[in-house]
Amino acid sequence: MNTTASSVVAATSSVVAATDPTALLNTQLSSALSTLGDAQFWEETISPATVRNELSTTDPSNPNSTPTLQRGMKWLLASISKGRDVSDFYPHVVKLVGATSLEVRKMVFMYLVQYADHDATTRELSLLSINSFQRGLADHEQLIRGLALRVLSSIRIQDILQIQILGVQKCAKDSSPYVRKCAANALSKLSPRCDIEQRQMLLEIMKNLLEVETSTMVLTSVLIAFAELCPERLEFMHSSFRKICHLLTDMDEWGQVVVIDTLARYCRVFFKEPKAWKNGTAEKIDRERRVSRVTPKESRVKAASNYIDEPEETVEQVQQGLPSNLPKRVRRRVIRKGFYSDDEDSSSEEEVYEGPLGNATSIASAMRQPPIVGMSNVDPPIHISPDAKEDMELDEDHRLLLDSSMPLLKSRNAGVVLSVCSLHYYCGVSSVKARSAIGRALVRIHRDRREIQYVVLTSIQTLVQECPSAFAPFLPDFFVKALDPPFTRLIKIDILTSLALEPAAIEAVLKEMRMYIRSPDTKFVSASIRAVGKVVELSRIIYDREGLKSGNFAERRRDANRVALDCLHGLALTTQNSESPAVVGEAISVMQNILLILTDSSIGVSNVNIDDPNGIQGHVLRRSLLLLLKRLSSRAVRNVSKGDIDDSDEDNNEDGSQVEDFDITLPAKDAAAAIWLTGEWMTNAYYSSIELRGLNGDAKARARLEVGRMIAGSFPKLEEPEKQQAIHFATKVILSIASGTIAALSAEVAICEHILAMGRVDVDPDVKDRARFESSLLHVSIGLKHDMSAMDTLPTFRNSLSLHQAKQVVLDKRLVPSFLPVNDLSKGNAAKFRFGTLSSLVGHKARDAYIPLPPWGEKNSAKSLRDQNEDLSKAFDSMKPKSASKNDAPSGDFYNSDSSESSSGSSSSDSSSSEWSGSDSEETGSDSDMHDPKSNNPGTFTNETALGGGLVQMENVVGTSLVSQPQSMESLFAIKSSSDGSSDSDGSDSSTSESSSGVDTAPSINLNTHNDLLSTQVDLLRMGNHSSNIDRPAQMQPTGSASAIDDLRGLVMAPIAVPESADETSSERDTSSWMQLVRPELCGGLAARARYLRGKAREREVKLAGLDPDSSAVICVQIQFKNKKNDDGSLRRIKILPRSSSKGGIAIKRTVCPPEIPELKKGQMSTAHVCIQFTSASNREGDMVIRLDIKSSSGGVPVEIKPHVGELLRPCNMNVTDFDSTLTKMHGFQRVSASFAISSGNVDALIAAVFKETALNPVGPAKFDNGRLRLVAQLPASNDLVLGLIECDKLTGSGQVTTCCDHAVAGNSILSTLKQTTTRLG
Amino acid sequence: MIQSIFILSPTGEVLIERHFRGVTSRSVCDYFWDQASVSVNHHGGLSTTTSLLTNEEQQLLLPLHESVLPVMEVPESDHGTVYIISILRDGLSYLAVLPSEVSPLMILEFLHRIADMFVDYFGSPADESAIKDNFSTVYQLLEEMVDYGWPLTTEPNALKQMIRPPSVMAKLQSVVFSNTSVSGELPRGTISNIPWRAAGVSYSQNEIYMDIVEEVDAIVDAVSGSLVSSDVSGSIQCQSHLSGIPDLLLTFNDPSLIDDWAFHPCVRYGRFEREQVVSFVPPDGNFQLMKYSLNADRRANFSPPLDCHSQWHVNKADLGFAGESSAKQPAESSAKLTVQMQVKSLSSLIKSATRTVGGMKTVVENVSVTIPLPKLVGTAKFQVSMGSVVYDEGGKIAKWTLGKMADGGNTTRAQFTADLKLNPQKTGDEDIQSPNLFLHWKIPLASVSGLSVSGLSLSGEAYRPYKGVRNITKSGLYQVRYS
Repeated sequence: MNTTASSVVAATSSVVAATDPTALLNTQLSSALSTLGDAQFWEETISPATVRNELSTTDPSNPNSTPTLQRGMKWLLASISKGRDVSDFYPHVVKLVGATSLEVRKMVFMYLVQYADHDATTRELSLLSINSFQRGLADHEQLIRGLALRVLSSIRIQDILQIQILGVQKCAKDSSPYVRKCAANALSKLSPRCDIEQRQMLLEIMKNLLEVETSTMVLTSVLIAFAELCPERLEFMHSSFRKICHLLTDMDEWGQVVVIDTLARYCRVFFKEPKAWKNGTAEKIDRERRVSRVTPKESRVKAASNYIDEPEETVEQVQQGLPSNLPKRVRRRVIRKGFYSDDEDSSSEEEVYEGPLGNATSIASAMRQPPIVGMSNVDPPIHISPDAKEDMELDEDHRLLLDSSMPLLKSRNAGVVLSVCSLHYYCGVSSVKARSAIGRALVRIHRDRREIQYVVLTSIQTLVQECPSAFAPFLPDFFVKALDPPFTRLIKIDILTSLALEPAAIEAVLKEMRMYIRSPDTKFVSASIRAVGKVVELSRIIYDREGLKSGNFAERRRDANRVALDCLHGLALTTQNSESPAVVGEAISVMQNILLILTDSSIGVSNVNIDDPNGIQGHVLRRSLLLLLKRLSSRAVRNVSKGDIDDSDEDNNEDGSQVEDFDITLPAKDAAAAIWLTGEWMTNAYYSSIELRGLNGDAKARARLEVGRMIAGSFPKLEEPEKQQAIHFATKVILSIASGTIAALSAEVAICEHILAMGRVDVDPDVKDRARFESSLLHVSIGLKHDMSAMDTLPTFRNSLSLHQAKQVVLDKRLVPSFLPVNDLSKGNAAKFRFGTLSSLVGHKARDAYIPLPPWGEKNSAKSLRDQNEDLSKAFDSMKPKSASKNDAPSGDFYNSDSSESSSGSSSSDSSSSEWSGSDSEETGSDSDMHDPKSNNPGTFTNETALGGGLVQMENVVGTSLVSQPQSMESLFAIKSSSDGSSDSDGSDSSTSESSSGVDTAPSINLNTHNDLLSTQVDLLRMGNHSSNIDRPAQMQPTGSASAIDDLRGLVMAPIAVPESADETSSERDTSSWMQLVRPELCGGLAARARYLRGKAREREVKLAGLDPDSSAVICVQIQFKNKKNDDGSLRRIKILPRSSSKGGIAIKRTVCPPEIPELKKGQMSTAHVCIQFTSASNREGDMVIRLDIKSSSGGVPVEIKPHVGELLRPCNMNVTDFDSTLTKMHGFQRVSASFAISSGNVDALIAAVFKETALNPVGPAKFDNGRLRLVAQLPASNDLVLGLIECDKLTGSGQVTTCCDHAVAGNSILSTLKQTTTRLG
Repeated sequence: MIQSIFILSPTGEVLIERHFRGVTSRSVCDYFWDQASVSVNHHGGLSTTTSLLTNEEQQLLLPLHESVLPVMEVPESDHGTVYIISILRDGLSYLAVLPSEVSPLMILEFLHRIADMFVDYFGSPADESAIKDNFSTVYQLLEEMVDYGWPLTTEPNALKQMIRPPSVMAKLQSVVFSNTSVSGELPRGTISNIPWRAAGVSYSQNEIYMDIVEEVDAIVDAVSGSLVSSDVSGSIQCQSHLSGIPDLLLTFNDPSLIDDWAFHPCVRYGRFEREQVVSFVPPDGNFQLMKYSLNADRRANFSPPLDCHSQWHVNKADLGFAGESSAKQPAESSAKLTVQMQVKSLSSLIKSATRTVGGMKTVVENVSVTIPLPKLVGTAKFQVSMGSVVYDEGGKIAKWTLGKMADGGNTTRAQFTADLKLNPQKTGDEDIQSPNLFLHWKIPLASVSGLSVSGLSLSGEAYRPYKGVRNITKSGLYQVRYS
């Protein structure tokens, strides 16, 4: 009911809002359709039994059942949401993992993950689903693979851990970055359940990914896994450090937070502390500005040194007339730094290198200059030079880290911004530039939603203590807005007070506080009142400081006093207006402190008289006296009559009616403050000078008596702090009147002694101690006369302390209590945590996952640590084409230039790539890949990245050198002219391959020499590029697979045209047989035939095309063009273009076509390679269709190439025994066979033909072994084994062909291919 | 990393629970709810009835979460100490349960991103009924957005390719043709290097619109009408309907007006650092390209466009000034609130060039005042000289809608008067506070900063898109404070 009602409300309200008719229609419709929403599943309209029944009886593979299953699953999820345990549906759900609908499947996965580890039964049942996930891992869609891995790795069952690890291992090498990302994510999922060995495996996977990965998407996840798996093993990051820095801005925002944190720790361990870290320009300024609580001794030293030294030195400076830009001299002076730093001693002597801003005055003025206050563009040169120097001194890699993270201050994600600030604060230099950038960014992100604001403000709260100048320009941003939640208000007050470091700021802050004090929130008001006290104290220090600098100390002191008096006045008014005891009490306490501050003369200059024309101090004293009396009277136990109080009121106060305005009893703590204050005023010489209207001389004495009387009367009911102050009050009174001999006073003394006596027998030990102590003090000086109860236990040394001495002890001026940040130590642990961390917010280590920043390294670690590995890994990459080629995975192309850059050292850090360079680099990538004819002009590539440019240039040179020597080429190839002129015929083809081992020997020698020749040439050309040196031996290997033309093809711009006679006869094992592609009559005389490349030849071509040779989704087709024109004309501009088509099959991700062939003369031929990458591989016949347009000057023709499954098989090896045993295990639909008959002479030809037509590999020798030929390969998509067996009687030529494969359809197709082969020979 | 995510309804009912690292018991939610509802007096949680407040104001005024820190520690639950990070959006509490140290700000951002995504999918407000009505989509979104407690796919473009947003048509289809909401075709966008952009976007009409919106947060003194503090935050909101992979380059006339910038991840940071131009490949659809704050000078130049004075007068019945205190006895009190509004000078705003040529007057649009009255108010009577008043009895919130107000010499002064009867007050109750007002206004074609676009060029695609840029200045949290 509830939901329908609310949805109607929502609908009507949006109708009002909707302006355009379609939206209106939508909302109306949606309200009509609201019954169709998911909300129905929240109601109890469907019974569990129905769901169970439906789920168990429905066939998941039937697409029509989807709605039923959907309903059931939604009901289950809703039940989980409602907190119901629906684990008993598990058996029914498990069997749905293969449901046709993806949505159902996803819901099933969610359910499985929730309950897989629920109890023993579900664990057992879960094992049933594992198979389906494993199948999913081999799916051709990357998202399905990713999803399967994600679910598989999320199931927390110990039994399948090994399977999970293997799955991750496999997926970590996937061609799709998305799947690799999922694999990286899975690492941390598995690690908590692993033992040491298994963990080691995971670590290896991670290290390898870290090393070779260049896709930011994956790298982000790898680094997150790093942070979870082994956050302490920072040394793993050496080799990828620079890469990470370069790619930092491109990573996803969530990863950036984690990565920056890890990098910060790396930075601390492997770099030494920069000088400018704690001593940068901004830090120096802040050090001057900061105010912290000082011990009197220190402050005297400082004040004295400031006051006495400064002017002299200024004179000295002028006299010396030094150039103003040099650091001039080293001066030793006291610096307090212990407060915020972790150093143990709170003050130390430090050498300060003083620049032109050497003395305090000029630094103070520098503070007010734009670069700090405005933090804007107008940087005066004075600040730029130190900044620049500060950066220079850093290690190159250290700076790289700082520089590459800096732009992220502009991220929209507050988490990223905060972590960058943290990095720069803890690991950067404290330059004005860096600090102001941090300040500005933090202030910006604090304007976000309130939860974010809270976290940012707590961070600012920590930071502002250390670097106030970074936030000073933003003071108004921290004003409390009426709607700020309580928790941010208090933080804001704290920040505001920390920023009150300049007269103007003090004014502004106090003005705000005045506003806050009227708030209804008493907690907030109390905090504001405390803040006022703090600001008054600060103002005193700051005005004094200014006074010392400018020389008009007295004047500035008067200003400070004026501020204090204003505040006193405001607070006194608050005590009158507020009705909250807590607020009034707080005000009394703060007023007490302000009065103390006013009279404080500890800072070593002669006191400036307080100019208090309005008698504010007196007013304050009266208020506190009144409040005290009120409090005491409410506590009175003895028969203090109403009249008495009224009497005293009248005595003390002329306008006593004020008392009646409120009915407030102060909190004990604050009442104690009032007792103290009253006592001070009545006994202390200084305070007694404060005039209180109508309360002087005798009146004052009478008042004192009255107060004493009331205290004595209410003493037993007082609370502990009040009692202590009461005792102290009594002592003070006794001492102050002891000198007087007037007998009348003895009554007062008696009262006071009575108070002391009560204290001595109090139940509270603190009170008792206090009373005994103070009694003894009195007793040894003047002696107690009246009430000696409970004194017998105390030792007495009569008259061993003179009255004067006793007075000094009790009545002398005392230290001013301070509000200043000593309190911060009370936070204790919180201060030790980095700002912005969870631990810092909760104030303790959040489990053990908080890793403190390590101390700075002793020295900068060697650069080569990061260099060497770089080279090593590069060499490693180029030696292992597998891993190297992964970098070239097509979707990683965007960052190709990045990776090349980072590997070539950070020399060109400013080129296009450290930022996200998007399609620019895509273009360059494909330009160089596709050998665009335009690139014949080297000029177009002058701005390319180093590696790409080099490659292209090299190609140019090779190209021209080849063009310049066509004759020699022709002659060379002429040697290879083979006997078969009509290579179109299949028969002769096979005969060639049949005799390949024998016939090819002679030409292959020639080939090799030719190869040598060429390679020396190439070598020369490649001088600059050492990585290709490693490639060369592989090409040189006399495996026979490398043909010279294949070698060269990658290097020349366009396929070269050779005379037709120079037909190709390179090793035929690596290719399929030729297929007619274009008949000459259809395309104006252009004939084309095609064949598939396999093995090494394919690998090379695919690599040249920039695709992943390991992927079975990549097909390489060799196309041979011939000019078969009847006349002598030549064909021009022959090119191959990919043709997109919406017809079925697997989508093509990328097609790499050769550049056009400029000219094909009569009788010439040319070979080109087309590499096609499909989005995935397939086991099915006809899924992968290549559609091309072949065009030339004389017309064009569309062609379609459909590789059959036999062609797409992936090679694999097996020994005979394994083969036989596996074969016997395959039964039923896995095994298909057919019989054939061929002429007995063709038996050997059969072998060759089989290898030609399919990509099956022989098991053992490639011949009939006892009449059996064993063949093996893997399916391209699922990697299932395909076994083939050909049994043939050599004599009769009849036999049987068998294929075995898990994938029945594929097995059948392969069988039919083989059968066709035999029939052709038949 | 997040252990679990819970979404609680305004009454504390668990709507959604999703665990990523083992099941967290619901006792965590109970703990949270106990804390959260401490300050809610009446049983049944908070009311989200009033539509008079903007979402932001609503959150600020709702009693829930007043006392709850966004980061909270739950001691000694079944799994040892866990930490809760919570946000409140549209009346729903989103909780992330964390087992250990992780950047709290990242989690907060992420929770907000999830809530944003719900708004994106289900429309605003994404409240209890929206979540219930789409909960299977919610689960699917969470599944795609989080993997083992780490954020996975958070770009709306990528997500929308994986999970189709519910629409009326889709709902119909699902009934009629039993289609699913999961997109049948698998997305390409997630795997490209521009994860924020959907692949294969194609429009017959290519267009991109940009709104340069500047929001003014301010505190104005109710008596003097002077500005206590103000803060202008700007943003550029884009609506992009461009085919293929367009590469855009946005340049400004005077970037120095701007003090600080924050960008969508699609912007190339480095390029901006060097050249002060914004180069990016936009996501498809609506997105926020950047946020900025003005430099101090420009900010200081701002003066309030509207003159708003308010007076608050309380008559405490039977409470003479010199008389004896009688607050102990219940007394009938009344109060009167007067608010006056007038358009002040708009000269501090910089108008877009196009309009000033036409000589049109700048108009302040959508003017309204939200007045949260004290809780003690019993009955209220309103009188206005212009516009209309809507009063929400339950939330004690009045909204005075004025509509358009033109700049110019002869502007009339609009007045609002409320006569309030106050409920008897007991001692110990808080003082009756003078209400703070919230102003809403919008001034099209004007800006505080004067930031304007000097060019937007497209490369990478052949077509010429239609481009539209306009300036808007409007109120953010614009508060009139009685002091």
